[in-house]
Amino acid sequence: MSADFTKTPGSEQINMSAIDLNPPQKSLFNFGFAHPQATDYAAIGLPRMKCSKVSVHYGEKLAVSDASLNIMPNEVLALIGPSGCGKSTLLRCLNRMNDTIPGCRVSGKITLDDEDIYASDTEVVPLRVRVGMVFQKPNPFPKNIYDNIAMAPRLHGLVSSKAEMDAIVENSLRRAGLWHEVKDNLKQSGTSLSGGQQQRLCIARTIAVNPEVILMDEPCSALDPIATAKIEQLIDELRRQYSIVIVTHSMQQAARVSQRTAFFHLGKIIEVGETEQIFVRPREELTERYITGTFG
Amino acid sequence: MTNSFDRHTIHRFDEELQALYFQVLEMGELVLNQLCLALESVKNKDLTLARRIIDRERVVNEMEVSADTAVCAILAKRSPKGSDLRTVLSTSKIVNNLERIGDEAAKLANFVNYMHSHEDGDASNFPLDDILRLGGASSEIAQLSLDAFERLDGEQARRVIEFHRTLDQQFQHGLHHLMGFLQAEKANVSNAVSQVMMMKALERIGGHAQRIAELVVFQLEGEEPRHHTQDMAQDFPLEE
Repeated sequence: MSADFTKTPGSEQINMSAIDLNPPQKSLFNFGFAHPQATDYAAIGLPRMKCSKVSVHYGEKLAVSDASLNIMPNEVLALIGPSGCGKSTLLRCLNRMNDTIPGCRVSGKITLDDEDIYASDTEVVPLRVRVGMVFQKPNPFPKNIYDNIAMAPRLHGLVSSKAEMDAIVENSLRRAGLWHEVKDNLKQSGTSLSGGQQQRLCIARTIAVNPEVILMDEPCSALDPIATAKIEQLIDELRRQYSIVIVTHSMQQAARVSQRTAFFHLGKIIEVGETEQIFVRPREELTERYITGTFG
Repeated sequence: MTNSFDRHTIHRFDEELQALYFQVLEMGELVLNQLCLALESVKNKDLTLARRIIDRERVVNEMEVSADTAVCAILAKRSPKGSDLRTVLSTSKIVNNLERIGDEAAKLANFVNYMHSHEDGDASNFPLDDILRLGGASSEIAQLSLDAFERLDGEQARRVIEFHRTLDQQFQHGLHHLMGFLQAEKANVSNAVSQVMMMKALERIGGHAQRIAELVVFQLEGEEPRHHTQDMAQDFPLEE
């Protein structure tokens, strides 16, 4: 495959007047990595994250091969493909979650706002604040709802007063669509919530530190259709502020929530395109066979 | 590309698509038969045949409802994608166009019934050459478009789309001849209007057949050919 999946339609048209070259510095979320608001990537249509020829090995096994992909601001990018195709592996590379797996080697280049996230001087903890992750199974801390949200801002020293923390907790829960359901029981344990509420709590926890990119690894696979619909609605709202990359086995979900979709097969990206194009007239035969259920 | 109904991991889905495909072919056959019989009734001024066609229009409508139901079921149960989605969408629209061809055929039969069941007219004096020529062309284009659907033949579908221009020209010639006839003869106005309406019905049949061919192209390629609305005769029916 020689196709270049890093090109995005319209990305070459840069509206220079929309770029604020000297934006105000917000120390609250500056972790000494690149400043998130240094460039308005959405305004100029540049990728928020960029994967260039990324390959991942688990020991001898090649899990992802030469994957090139852009993650644009304010978009939901869905990664689809059969089990073991490398989509979750690539997702986990985006905030270096694979660092903890023995024998995992990542080659190629992944950048966040043009900075190499695998550079030797990159600190992983601030990176994971900027690129948050929501997992398949809701995993709230065994603490109350308030502390679930407050823990990360507190650890990273993002707040200086109780009032400020209260505001972050309320704001995060509101944006996760959970505030009205839990506002009177913030001292209740996070693990006592329903599965769907727990997952929204995890999303609230992720956005409490104001990330730029949110990674979601099958966030609804353990949820019922109602809870799934609430998460999908939430994803649609969060897109206005963040870039979201979602791995899902549900093609319906990919079609519903994403603007672009990438299809993986045997560690390779077979096709990336606008979601509508992928699901109505895919260019590649393999994609067609996968989405129509005529695979294998 | 050909139709093959043993592709899906879920075999039941293949069966449902196959059933829908055969339903459309069956409906197409019936509609073509209705059209041919309607032309026969025009040619032979056959009132009995015309009434049979009008009666059988109900069956065409029932087939449309049945195909629509099958389409809804597939959409609800299978959420088709890619070529499956295009197949279901285009099939649904083809069914709709077939039903309209059926309507137009019944309309022809209605005019035969009207013109020849009144004693006051001069219906027998009207020239039929143009109507029959137009009828031959419209039934041919309908047949060709259904063949293109049956074989999923994109090339033939594109030929049908082009062929429709010829039908437009025939429609305009027919109108001009009729106007000449009306100026020369003192003809009954209602019969003259019926003649025009019959020509228009045949022209519309060609339009629906063209649409079927366009849908075959969409099914195969994912893009619809450009609509030739500016060429359509109904916009400027009396232009030379």
